[in-house]
Amino acid sequence: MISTTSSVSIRIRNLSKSYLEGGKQHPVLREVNAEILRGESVALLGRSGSGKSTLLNLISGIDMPDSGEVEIDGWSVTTMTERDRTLFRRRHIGFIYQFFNLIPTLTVGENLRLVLELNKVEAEDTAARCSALLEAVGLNDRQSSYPDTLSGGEQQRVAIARALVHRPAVVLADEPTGNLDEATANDFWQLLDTLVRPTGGTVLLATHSVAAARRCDRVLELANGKLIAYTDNLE
Amino acid sequence: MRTVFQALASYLLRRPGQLGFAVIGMAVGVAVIVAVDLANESARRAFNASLAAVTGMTTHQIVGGPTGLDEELYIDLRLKGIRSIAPIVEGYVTVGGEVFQLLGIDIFAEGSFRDYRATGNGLDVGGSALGLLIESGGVLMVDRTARKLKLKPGDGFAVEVAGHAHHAVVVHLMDGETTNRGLDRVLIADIAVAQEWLGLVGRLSRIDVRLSGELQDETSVTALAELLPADARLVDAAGRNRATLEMSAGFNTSLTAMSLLALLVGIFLIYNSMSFMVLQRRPMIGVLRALGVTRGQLIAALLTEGLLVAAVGTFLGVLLGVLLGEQLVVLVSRSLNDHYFVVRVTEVSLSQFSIFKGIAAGLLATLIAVSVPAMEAASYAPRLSLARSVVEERAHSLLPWIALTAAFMVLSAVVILVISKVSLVAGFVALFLTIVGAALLVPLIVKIAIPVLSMSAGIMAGLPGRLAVRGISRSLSRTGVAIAALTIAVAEIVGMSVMVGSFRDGVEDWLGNALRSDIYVTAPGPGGSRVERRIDPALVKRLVRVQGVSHYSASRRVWIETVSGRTQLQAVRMAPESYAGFEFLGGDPGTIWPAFDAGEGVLISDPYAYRHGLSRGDSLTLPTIQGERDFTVLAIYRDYDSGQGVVTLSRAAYIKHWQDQAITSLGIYLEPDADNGTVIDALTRTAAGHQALLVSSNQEIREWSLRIFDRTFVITDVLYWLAMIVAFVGVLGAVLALSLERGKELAILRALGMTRLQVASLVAIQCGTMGLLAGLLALPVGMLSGWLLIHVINRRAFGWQIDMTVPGDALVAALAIAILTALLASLYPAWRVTRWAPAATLREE
Repeated sequence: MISTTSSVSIRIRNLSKSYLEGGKQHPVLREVNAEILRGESVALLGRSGSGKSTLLNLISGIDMPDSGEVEIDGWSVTTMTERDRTLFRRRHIGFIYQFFNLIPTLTVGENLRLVLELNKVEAEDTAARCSALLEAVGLNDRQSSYPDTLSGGEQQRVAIARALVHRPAVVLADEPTGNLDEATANDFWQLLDTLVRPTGGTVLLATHSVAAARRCDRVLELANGKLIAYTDNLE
Repeated sequence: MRTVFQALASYLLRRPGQLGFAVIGMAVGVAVIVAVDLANESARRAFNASLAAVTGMTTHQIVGGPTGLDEELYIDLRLKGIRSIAPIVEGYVTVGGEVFQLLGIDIFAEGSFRDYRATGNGLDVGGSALGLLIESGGVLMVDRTARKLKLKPGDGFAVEVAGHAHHAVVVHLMDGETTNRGLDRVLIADIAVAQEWLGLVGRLSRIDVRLSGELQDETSVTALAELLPADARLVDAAGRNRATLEMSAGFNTSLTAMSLLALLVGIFLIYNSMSFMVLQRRPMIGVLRALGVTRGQLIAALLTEGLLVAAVGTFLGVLLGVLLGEQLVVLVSRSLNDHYFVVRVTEVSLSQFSIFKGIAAGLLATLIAVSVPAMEAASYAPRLSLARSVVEERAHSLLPWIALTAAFMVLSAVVILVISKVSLVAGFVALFLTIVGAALLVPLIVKIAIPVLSMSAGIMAGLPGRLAVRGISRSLSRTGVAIAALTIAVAEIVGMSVMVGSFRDGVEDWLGNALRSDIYVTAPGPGGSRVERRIDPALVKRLVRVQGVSHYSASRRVWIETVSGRTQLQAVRMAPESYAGFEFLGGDPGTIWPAFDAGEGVLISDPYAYRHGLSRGDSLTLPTIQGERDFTVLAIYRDYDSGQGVVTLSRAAYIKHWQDQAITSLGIYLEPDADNGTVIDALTRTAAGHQALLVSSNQEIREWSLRIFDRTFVITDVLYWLAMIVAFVGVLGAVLALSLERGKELAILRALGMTRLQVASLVAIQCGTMGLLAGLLALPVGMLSGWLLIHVINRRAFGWQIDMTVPGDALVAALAIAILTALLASLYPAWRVTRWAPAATLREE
């Protein structure tokens, strides 16, 4: 069932993607269709290698599909030029990774500022936004620390702050708690609730954990390259 | 063990690009060594072959003063029963613009000395050369030379000597391929013909002596020496040849040292490539260690792999070196001809020893370059091999030790300089220690400088700029070595620019001061001090009476044989202005000149004083026509004319002691209202029909001298640009390696919204900063090596004393070269990172 309402944040139409491996095409996604509403948090559930990360990359425009279309807030990402996709991603998408992927040569504060600088945000506003977000994730006193001096949980909090600092319309998270213990993972969910919900941003979260998926409003299940389940929740 | 090797090697084989850079770097380094050695060796062999052919079976030579010996001496010795002797008259002549040595022989005395086998009939000189006596102006030459001059037996051609043209006829051709190799630049004529052409009628250049077997003992030599008159001396032929060859030893050593500098840069490059290839496999090494591979097995596998890479690089380097050697030999022989002796190097002789040296240098360099990272990798605890940060932390913790090593090297250089005093090789060792010491300091300085540069980059290019600059410090184990290699190469440019610039300034000043006359008239021909170069005395009288000529100075330059080798003698008749042309290094001109004019002593040039350890007031023994005589050194003067040095005395004293009235050149001073061009035309017209003299203005002489100067340094330019190519490959390899290593980081930046251009700019900023650092560090290192080149190397190799000047434009150019080289090296890696699909990189992670 595909909705056409204007409150759709992410619309995926007939999306297919395959990779060439060992001289053969291996389909990862086959004719995937989905719609995610603005402000929704949706879990993309699937086993390792099911194509979750590929789908996130296609949505963000980091990768291009073999066929099909991705629309975000009415903008067709798949028909944009490479440069436009990059600029679009820079402005409208925040990414959170399993291994945090902070830039090791930049301090915590600079990791956040980099995103704002790329978006040409005024210097004064930049400082205020960084401080506010780091305050919110409880790391304002670590602004000058380098990522490798932080614990895993702290690094993930910085990654959340970095993904949100430019107020993106869509937050994509790829196994964000896969590398965290349960208590730290709980902190992550709380932060996501606290920081994203009030902004009305959309969250699409790839995970192989049913427990993690239950934290979201809806779950899309991906298996053998297809969305085989389309449920409101896993109850 | 085999499986360990396979595991390591297959990783490399999947990265042919990286492997390629290591091989290219080594190939260029080895090629430069082989090329310079082949060029030097080929020139040396050609000269040796020429000396051997001309010397033949001669064991000793009887030599005389500047104009040689009276030919009566030869007859006298024969009459006294000395049979194994042959008279020789030799000099330089020009045929079709090319210089040849003319050897005048007595064919009846030659048999036991030289074997000039003729082509075709296989006759030796006794048979084939009879034509020399029959044919007026008959000469012998080797077939190869005849082909080059497009001559055949019976053909006539013109031989020019000091502006006089003579008619010569090819009598026979000698076989130049087998027995007469080395005679390419030699024309053989009857002694009477040579005497006439060279203006040495009644004189002999020398008498060759062959003392064979038991006759070579000291008693026989002494007995023969006692038969000689006061103006003649018996010298050892081999020693005399050696002394001639040694004149260019400093030049050859300098070239070899410069080629070693290129290898040094190459070693840094090889180290960088090999260490990167080792470190990149640290996870695999960690696993292998965890599985039970011992440290020894790991080191052995890595060394074997390194040596295999080295074998390929060295093989290519040798091939490239031979090709490069063919080009360099032209430059080397041109410089040798300009400054030392006439030699024609027709081909690169593939010396096995030169090739062996290149192979040994390549393999040894690799062994050093690979053993350090191999031992380092093997020393990690197995689990630590997995962590990249451990490698960098270790590199950072080693910095103080590396700095201490650097300080020790520089200190050793100072000690060597103080102890060695005059040894050129020791001078180069000190120079190398200084440069390597400075290079070892580079990583520490980079670490200190990065925060400042990062801040500046942040101000100029924001966080991306800061990010790029910090990456240099973060991967110091990689970037430090690349920056050090570039620093050495650019320092070499700076050092050479400072040395050549200072030298050129010195020569220009000296020319400006020494060349006082308005016009110079010289007998043309090769070799400034050849006896046959003389202006006809009758013509001199007519030339100085040409309208517009006010007064003149005159000089005669000749070589004389002294106990300490050949000495260049300059006799001058000074014009009033000429006195100011001598810049004394100490002493009062007010007392020196009257003593000089009175013939009470001699002036010696600075290089001569340095080479012979003479000071003002010392005594110098010279063989005169009346026998050996002591001359007081009245003063030492600055001179850049001859690296061998010159002894100057008044013309009156010269005539008195050597009885040679000839004049080699005239310095003409004009009447106040005379026109330079008009007088030059008048002088040329006056000489026309008598002698084809060189009449040049002061300006022309200066320009010609500076042209010779500049072309001497063409070869050094070539060598330092080769070192730059090696450094370029080094930086390119390092940046490529870095960007490969930072692939994930760059992919994240792309995911965060950096455009391709922005990511490429990061690579370029990083490279540019590395270039800037290398350039800035190269300036003091280059200035220091420039100082050493001027005050140690140049002094010890050539005896020159040069005031150091700092060519500002050269320093700016060097800095620009460093930055541009690094930026150029960034183009390919920057282009590559724009091609990467971030999704693929992130997926791989």
